[in-house]
Amino acid sequence: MPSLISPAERDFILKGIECNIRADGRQRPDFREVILETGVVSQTSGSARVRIAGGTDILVSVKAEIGPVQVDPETGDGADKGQIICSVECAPSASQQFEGRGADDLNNELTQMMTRILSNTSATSSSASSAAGINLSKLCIIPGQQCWILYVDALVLDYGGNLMDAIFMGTRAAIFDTRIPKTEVQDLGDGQFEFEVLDDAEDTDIVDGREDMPICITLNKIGARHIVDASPLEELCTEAKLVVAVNRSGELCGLQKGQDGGIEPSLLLEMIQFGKTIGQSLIKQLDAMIKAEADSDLGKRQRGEPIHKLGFFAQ
Amino acid sequence: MDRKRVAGPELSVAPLVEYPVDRKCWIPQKDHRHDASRQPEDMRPIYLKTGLINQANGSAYIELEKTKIACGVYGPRSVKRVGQGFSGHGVLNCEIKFATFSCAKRRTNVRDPQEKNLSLIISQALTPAVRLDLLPKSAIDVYITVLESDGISSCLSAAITAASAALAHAGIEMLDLVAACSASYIPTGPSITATESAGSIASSPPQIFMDADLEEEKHEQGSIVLAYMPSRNEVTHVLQSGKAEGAIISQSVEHCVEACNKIYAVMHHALLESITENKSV
Amino acid sequence: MSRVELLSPEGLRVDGRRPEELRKITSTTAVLSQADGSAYLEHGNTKVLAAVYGPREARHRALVLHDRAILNVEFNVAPFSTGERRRRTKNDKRLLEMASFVKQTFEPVVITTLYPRSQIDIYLQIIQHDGGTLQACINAATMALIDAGIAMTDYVCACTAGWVEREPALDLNHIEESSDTSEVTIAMLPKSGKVTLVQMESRLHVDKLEDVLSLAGKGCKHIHQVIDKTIRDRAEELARKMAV
Repeated sequence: MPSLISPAERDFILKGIECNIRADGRQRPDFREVILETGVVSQTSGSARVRIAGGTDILVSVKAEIGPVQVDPETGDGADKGQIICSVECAPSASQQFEGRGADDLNNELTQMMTRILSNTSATSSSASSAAGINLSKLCIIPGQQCWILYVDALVLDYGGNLMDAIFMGTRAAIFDTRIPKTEVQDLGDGQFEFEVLDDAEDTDIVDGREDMPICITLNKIGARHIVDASPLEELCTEAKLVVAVNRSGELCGLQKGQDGGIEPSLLLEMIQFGKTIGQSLIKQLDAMIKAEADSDLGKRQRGEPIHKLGFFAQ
Repeated sequence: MDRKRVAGPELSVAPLVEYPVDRKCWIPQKDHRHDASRQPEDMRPIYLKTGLINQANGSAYIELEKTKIACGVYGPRSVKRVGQGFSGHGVLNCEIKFATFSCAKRRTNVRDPQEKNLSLIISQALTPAVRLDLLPKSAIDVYITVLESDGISSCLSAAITAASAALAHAGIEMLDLVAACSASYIPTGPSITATESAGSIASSPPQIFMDADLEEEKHEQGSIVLAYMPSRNEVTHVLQSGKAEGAIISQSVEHCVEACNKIYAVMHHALLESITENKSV
Repeated sequence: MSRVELLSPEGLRVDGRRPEELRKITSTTAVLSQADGSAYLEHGNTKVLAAVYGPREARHRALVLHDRAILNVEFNVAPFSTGERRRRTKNDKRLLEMASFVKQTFEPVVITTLYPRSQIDIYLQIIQHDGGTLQACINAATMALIDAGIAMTDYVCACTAGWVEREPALDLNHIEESSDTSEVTIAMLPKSGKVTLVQMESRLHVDKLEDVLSLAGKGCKHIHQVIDKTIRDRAEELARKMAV
């Protein structure tokens, strides 16, 4: 992750973007190629590895664990809801700047943002699903006592720009890959319950509402124009960055401006609209990729062939 | 003898409660806010005063009914740490701290991740306005203390407004003042009762309530915080959470811009007042 | 509590291996774009990623050595790598200890005097844990250092061996490790046969030590062949690409 850029380089990128041609030959609204693989870490409930050609490499894992429900003491909210807990960690292997405590601020920023978009429960008082679309009520095992907690951990292994979008693509794929064991609840009378986790790898639940999970599109405003999927050098030239979270039905699920520049209100609205359109088409592409992989895995499993995951051997 | 509590004199009276404590649950309805005297597009009255902290180079205090925030600006000072290399631009450090007693739940003294993130948001919102290019090798510190919080969104917007006023009061060169405003979209009317059949919220668009307080925030479906430089016509920060239609967003952005213009006038007034006060002394 | 049967009557282990059999090792180099050298190694189900930065200017002036480079090893464990999810902080003593093992192993092998006043960073990331993390990390680090083109006197190959029930066994997996078997990790320079690291934390009868060590030594030699093949294949591929 370079931290400095020369005026000449900056000028080159700026002028290029003005003419709608970027250093790697893309146009302003073009994404780089995305390589996606699910089920890469066997010890998790669901996992995915996203690689954006040219660098960024992210491993997202979802682990479902049983824990106590968290009830808001004032409103009594959340007694019948599971939880999603997000964290992002940038490994020092991703960039020399992440050495020691160097990545702490970035980790915190990304984690908070992910939490805001995925597990924001303040919006749920009137609806069963979180802003992320995931049906949290389905994650509850015994109301008021036990629930499933989905730990979403994103590990940034390599840095090549556009972390946020890649993290969300990975999270969506990992949630699609997630299988939660079925539970059987027994009523022992007078408010006592007992449950058993069914240990059947074939008969498991999927995460309800996963189709409605949002993804992020980061728009980088460079000069008077805006681009998507910026490379590290383009990120250095960015004046202002706008992260738009959108779900498949085109609803906005989050919006955040980053970096130290301003945006005119009219351009802001235009960028939101643009992010929404791009996001919806990206979700379609992503879902097709996830489905194709799931189908091929299922086919192999039925034919009894071994499923071989490439992991890092996929270049 | 009870040593753990301050006993107080025998003839002591309970402190006056300024706001009537309402235990009544507020149910969002169209055009009916938690504070019945407010219209959906009305903000709470703002009290803004600069120059309350003598030690600081610039300071401001803002109060929006139950939201109370103090802000001090120190600097510009030279960057302490050597080895960071030469920087042609100054740095704006913002730190927000919620007082331990500011929220319903006690906050700790240590900065938690949320405070760190809000600090980052505030500095991102203010940096476009400050002429940091004129201050090489230096840093400006902005310390914000939330004395009483009445909703996180309104707290954040009030903090940005106060910090910007304090920066101006410190005489730091800026392109413009930054005014910030929050809005919540709250599902109202029949949709709230029909939520059992999921997805019916979309049937009636939620109502946009400007500058929502804590009670309203509990019912919200989403919220937006917008920081804006009125005379430059530039948005310096936008933070939205929760699900919403595109139309609602653009509508609330317009509302926020309008409200920021009003806040701008208040900020102007407060700064001018502090100058006239200084002259009379 | 009934103990897990670690060795079947036929002499096979829990995962069906013979006592002197290694798990499958697959590896590749140059997996990361930012690092100067990197390697990814799967040792059975243990998955490790190593990245090497440097030689570069030292971060902290105070640490600079005027005649040689300093090695800096950081060890990271992904929260999802183990069966139970667990977050580890950067200051976890266990991780710091592991990092210092790796550092001590490589200090005599890397020719640090070639890079005075500089720093070489080795970052290790455990993605999945199934026993034998230290050996996997050392092997991955060797490959990453070679990929970064850092001068070393030899490969460093590490291997664990232990005493399972009644005979010495090579390359213990997580189940065997966690059921109170004694385990020795050694790191060896395969050409000279010198040992740069021996680590053991549990009880082992001194009579058995020699058997275990010689078995681990054999394991190291075998691992050397595997790693060497990957490195040579990679070098050939690069040479082919350059020739075009």
